[in-house]
Amino acid sequence: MLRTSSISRPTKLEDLLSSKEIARLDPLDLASRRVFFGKLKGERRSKKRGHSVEFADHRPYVTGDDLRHIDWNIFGRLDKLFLKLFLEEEDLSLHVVLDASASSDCGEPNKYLFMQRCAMALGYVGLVNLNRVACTIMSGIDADAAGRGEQSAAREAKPASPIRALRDLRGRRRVHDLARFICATMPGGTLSFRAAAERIALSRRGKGVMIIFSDFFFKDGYEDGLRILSGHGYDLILVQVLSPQELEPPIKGDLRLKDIEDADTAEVTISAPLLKRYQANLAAYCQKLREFALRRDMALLTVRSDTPVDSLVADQLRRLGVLK
Amino acid sequence: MTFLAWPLAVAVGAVAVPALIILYLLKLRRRDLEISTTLLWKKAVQDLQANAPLQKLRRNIMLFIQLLVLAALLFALAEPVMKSSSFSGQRHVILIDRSASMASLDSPPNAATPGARLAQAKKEAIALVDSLREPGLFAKAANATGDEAMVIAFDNAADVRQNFTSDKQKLREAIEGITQSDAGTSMSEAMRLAKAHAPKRLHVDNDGSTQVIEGLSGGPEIQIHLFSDGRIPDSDQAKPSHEDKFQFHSIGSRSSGNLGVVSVRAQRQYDAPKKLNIFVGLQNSDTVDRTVDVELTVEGAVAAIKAVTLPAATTPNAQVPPSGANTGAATPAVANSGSPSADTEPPLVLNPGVGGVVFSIEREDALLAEIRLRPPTGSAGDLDAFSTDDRAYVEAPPAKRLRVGVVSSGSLFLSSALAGLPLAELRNIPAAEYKAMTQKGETPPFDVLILDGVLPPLNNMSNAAGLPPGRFLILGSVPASTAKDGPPAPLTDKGKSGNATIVDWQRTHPALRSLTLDSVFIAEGRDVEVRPGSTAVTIARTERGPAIIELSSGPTRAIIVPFDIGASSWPLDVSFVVFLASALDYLGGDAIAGANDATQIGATVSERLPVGAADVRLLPPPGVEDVSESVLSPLPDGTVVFGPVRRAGVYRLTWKGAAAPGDIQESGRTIRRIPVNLLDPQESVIGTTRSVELANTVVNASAESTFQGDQRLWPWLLLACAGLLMIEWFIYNRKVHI
Repeated sequence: MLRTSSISRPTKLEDLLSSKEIARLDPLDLASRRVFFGKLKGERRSKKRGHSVEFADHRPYVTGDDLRHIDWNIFGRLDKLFLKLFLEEEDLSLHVVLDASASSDCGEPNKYLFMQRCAMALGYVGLVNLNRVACTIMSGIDADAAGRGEQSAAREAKPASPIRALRDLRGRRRVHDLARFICATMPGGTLSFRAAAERIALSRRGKGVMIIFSDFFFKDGYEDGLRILSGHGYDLILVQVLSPQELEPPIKGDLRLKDIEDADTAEVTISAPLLKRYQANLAAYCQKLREFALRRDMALLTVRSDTPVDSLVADQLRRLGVLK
Repeated sequence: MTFLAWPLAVAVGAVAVPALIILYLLKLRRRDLEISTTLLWKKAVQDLQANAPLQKLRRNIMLFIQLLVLAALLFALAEPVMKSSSFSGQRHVILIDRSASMASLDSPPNAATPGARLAQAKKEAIALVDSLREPGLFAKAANATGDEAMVIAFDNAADVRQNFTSDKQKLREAIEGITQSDAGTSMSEAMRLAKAHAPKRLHVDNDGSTQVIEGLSGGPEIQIHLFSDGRIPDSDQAKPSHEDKFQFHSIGSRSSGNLGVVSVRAQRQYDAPKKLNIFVGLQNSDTVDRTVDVELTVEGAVAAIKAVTLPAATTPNAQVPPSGANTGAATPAVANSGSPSADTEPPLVLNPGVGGVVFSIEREDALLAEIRLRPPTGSAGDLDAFSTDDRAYVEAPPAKRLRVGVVSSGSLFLSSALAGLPLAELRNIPAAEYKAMTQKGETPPFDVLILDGVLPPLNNMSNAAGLPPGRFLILGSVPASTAKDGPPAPLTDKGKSGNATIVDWQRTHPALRSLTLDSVFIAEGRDVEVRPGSTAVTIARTERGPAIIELSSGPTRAIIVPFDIGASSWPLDVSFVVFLASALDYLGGDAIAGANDATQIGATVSERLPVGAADVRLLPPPGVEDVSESVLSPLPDGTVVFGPVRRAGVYRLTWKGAAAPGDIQESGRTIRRIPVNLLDPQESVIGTTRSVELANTVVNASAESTFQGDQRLWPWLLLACAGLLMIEWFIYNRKVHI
């Protein structure tokens, strides 16, 4: 929750992933709950839609879904719209999205550092398994300004260039390129998630798995952005990263809480009922996000920023079906 | 309940209560803290917090508690007092009896371990002091005063321990400082002191001038509190003013019986001075017959124990107090706060049972005997509650017989009569030798000198009668001064007269006791004129004039028989020998000192020490802690005076120098023991009375000995504040606990 007091920014791959973690990631490969067309010949079986015999699941239709996936038989019988879900296909595209707003640059351990490391781990897995890997960083500050270290000026500036992206990486050789890209971006500024989502959707190429790392604390709401992204054929995985301080605030006394992004203030006198109320609100917020994600066929994972990266990637994402 | 300082509380409350509420309405100065997002916090605060400023105060338990604390503080500031049984008097006189009977260990009655009455009296008096009203803390500035009290302690004398003051600490210290005395009881002096110290009542004239008028009614009344067991023999002489209130606080148990020594005397037998008789008078004030062991201890060793049964005390019926006296205008207000039964009870008047015991021991030397009453053999426990009169001390002088010198021309009658008497020494001195000695200024070494027809020659030591210092039995002559410029002689010799018979004599005179002189025929009488108002007294007379004369002036004492006994029938009469013995005994009485009375408490002791005594110290009786050793300086003739003695026991005078007969020499110092005893039949009756008869009324004892004055409530309110603050602290902690 609080601004990280002193942080050492990663500069290269070794800062993001240790060799031990890399060794643990090596046997993993990407998976998708959905079947996509491959762009290139890959190592996977092709299971194109319509030809697939392995039916996976049904889910309720929501606005924006591809009408071609509606199971008309069911509609005929039940008069309700359901989508048919199918199994994976061969050539998988992995798109990792990071939220680099100022609110991510908080917590102990730092949430953004955690996101960087997770993105690197997933990118590594995707690259070594010959998948196409893209990485997008949604930042509130101008990329050039961030490069010059003018964070304070940039934070107050309007988000001129909401996203920075690195696309079409493939193969183990591009691992260091990915690491450099991830390390180069400094977090800060106010992020308009909706605008960023639109930019991502516009610049999208092909389909695949999109994993968004964020705390999803957006003042203008996360719903629009997610709706935009979900409508474009991506298998969306949301990873909500919360710092331990956000879950259990270690603060007391009479405080004027200042939002790190928009300098909004809230005057509070910390008391047991207030903390209880805060935690109830946080739980409700997370639950609402979860329900939203479920209705949109997205997967949501809420993690603490002090979770070990290899444990998250190798265990929790694997259990979710993102990796195998 | 009244408030002593309510305007102050109102003023402070008018400021403090709004200030507290404003403090709650004011915004806090908050610490800035940057956080990732205020999204959730704003919502949480909105949920908890109402926006309207007055709603902020609603259900704010902290403010509620702080208002309670403030209310308690303001309440305390107003100095509330609870009035229970308050005294209407502004001034109190506390009379505390410290006489011997107040040492009885029976107070309070029915207590498991009763203590001394004096301690109980002090406790109750201090409770009374504590209950006196004080002015409010903030009223003191306005010169308001509370109740005042005065403390007087009395036994048979009284002294003011503390004059009128409202300082409770001083009063408490004065009461605590009262020590036990072994003296008797007399209240009149205490009452006089109380009256003397009472402020005069002022009469305010119309023009505003004031003047003191004795006995004028008005002004603040005085409450007199008597803490005593009620055994006050002279209480009927105490007369409080009729506007004063008199309260009697009875201390001790009414049913306390007591056995005590009320008289003791040691006397040597005349014919056998070795034999010492010690007479002990005992008194029983118990309502049953009591047997007691009387133990005689001589010089620390038990010499004898005798069991004596004393009859029970009897209650006379006639003693009913004049209860009708407290009606009428002149009667003072009587504090009849006693129980109904106490109103009807007459004071307990007892005729104690008396008895005695005589110890006979054979001891030649001087001795100090201690008589002690003990419970009868075989019975356990204490003899009675009052121990001071359970022991008495008496000192017996060494056995001594008279040394008698006879200056005579050889009277056969005289020498044969004297030969039969038990004397230490009987010597005939020729008249010429005696005259020569006297003229040289020497005093013959005899206790009594019998001058038969001889008169001492005049010298510079002779008194108006022409006699030098000494004890004389003068037969057949009349001493008369011949000095022309001296004072007139008490006796004038008118020469011989005719025959006569003794017609009258003082039968009670020690020298003439048990004599029958009417058979004495005097053939040749002598006319003597006794100057009226002189030191000479006729103790036997004939029809013509004095027959036997006693002359005592200063150091000289003489019995003069003017007529010639040879020319009378007296020597042939048995009364002559008896007279000789009695007269010698009487004249030499000081010398043989066969009997000695102990000093009583309250007396001033005068002792004559041998000349040259130095570094004279008076040691109090062993075991008495409240009397300290004192240094005395003897007068030029060796007399030391001290007293009045207030404690029973054996005082010891020690000095450096020569010893007189009966004194003890110990490690270079001479010690004389002076026994001091209570020996007061009145004081030995210790049963507490329930009423006191004053000169103008009868005051019954107050039933309740608990005093409740104004109960200060502010300490309790402060305590409540502290409690509320603790609750607030607890709630605050609960609230902010994370």
